[in-house]
Amino acid sequence: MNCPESLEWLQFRLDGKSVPDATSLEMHLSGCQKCRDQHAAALVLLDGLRRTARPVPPADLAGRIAVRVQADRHLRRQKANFRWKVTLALAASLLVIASAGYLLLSRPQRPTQAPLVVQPRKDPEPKVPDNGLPALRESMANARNAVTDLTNRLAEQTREQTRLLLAAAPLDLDPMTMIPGLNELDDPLNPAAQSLQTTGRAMAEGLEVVAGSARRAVDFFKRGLPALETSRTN
Amino acid sequence: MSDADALLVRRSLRGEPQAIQALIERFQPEVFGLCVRLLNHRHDAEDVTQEVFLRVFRSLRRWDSSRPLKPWIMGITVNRCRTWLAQRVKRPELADYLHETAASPPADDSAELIREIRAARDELRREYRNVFILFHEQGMPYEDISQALGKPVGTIKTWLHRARLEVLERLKRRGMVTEVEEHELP
Repeated sequence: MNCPESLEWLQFRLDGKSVPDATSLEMHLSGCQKCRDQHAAALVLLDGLRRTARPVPPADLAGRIAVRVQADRHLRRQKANFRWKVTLALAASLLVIASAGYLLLSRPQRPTQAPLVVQPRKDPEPKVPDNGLPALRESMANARNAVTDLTNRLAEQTREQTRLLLAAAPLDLDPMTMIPGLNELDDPLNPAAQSLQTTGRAMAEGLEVVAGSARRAVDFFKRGLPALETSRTN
Repeated sequence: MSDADALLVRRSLRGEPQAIQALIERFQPEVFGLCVRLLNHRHDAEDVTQEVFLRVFRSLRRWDSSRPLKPWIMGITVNRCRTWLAQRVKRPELADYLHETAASPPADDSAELIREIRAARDELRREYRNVFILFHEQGMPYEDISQALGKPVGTIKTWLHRARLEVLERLKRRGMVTEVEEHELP
């Protein structure tokens, strides 16, 4: 046995266990002063620890502790109940505020103030009828051109008829006093009336063309635009 | 954990006054003894003992019932004593301690030995001192000390072995160890 092993057995001894190899230990201690002193000190320590009195608590300490523990439990229960009540009150307040806010925000608005919301209808795009008719822009351009042409034709015919009328009328007559009556307009033998009739027929024919073009243009416009839905928010 | 401890804990959690009283009486002597040894002051030890049991009952629901109850309570005691010591200045109360803790002081010179052992123990660093007290004065095994302090058993053994060697060296320095004959060694 050597000194480290002797030290290990020393710890065994202080643990309160018996030394496994007492003979070897005794042989080493007999030859090693340092280890012998260590083991002697260990014995003194164990002896002193055995003599140390165990502290004795006061007789009423357990009772005092029990009273304090019960009081503490009661106080903590009261605090817990109070916290619960405060939490519930806060939660109820928040719920009331949230409900009031929701009700206020979701009140129905007055019809006059309802904003008009135009939303496109989710229908598939209308198919352009495949019947040879021009697109909307083309129709509008055609209508514009038709109106322009008609206006020019009317103006030209008016000038022509006016020349004829003036050529047929006496020079000393006041045009303002010579407005023919309706019956006279029907007289086929009156050249002035014939001129006016012709002018009127031309104007009617021209206006008919304009009206037709305008109708076509509006039709294409209506078919070309997406259908609109108006809704009023309530 | 013993069945008796488990039953006592369950009844205490239900708030039965008798169970609470029984639990206190069961562990109060050891808690008080440890407080006295760590604080070296009897009055402080009474206060800290009360604090310990307040914390025990507050934390009883969080205690792991698969583990023994005593190491858990002793661990709380060590922590409370450490906190208490950190909050006050050390006072030389050894004389008062010796008069109050023993029913009657020993007639021989063992009082001096006891005083020297206590002085050597109090010179140890905190971890060594706690382990020394828990093992040699409270009689707790390594495993219970390990659970109480939350350290591995190997660490506890290392701390205790070093603490012993330091105490032994001081006892030899102070002349408390006389020459012994070889045949006197067990």
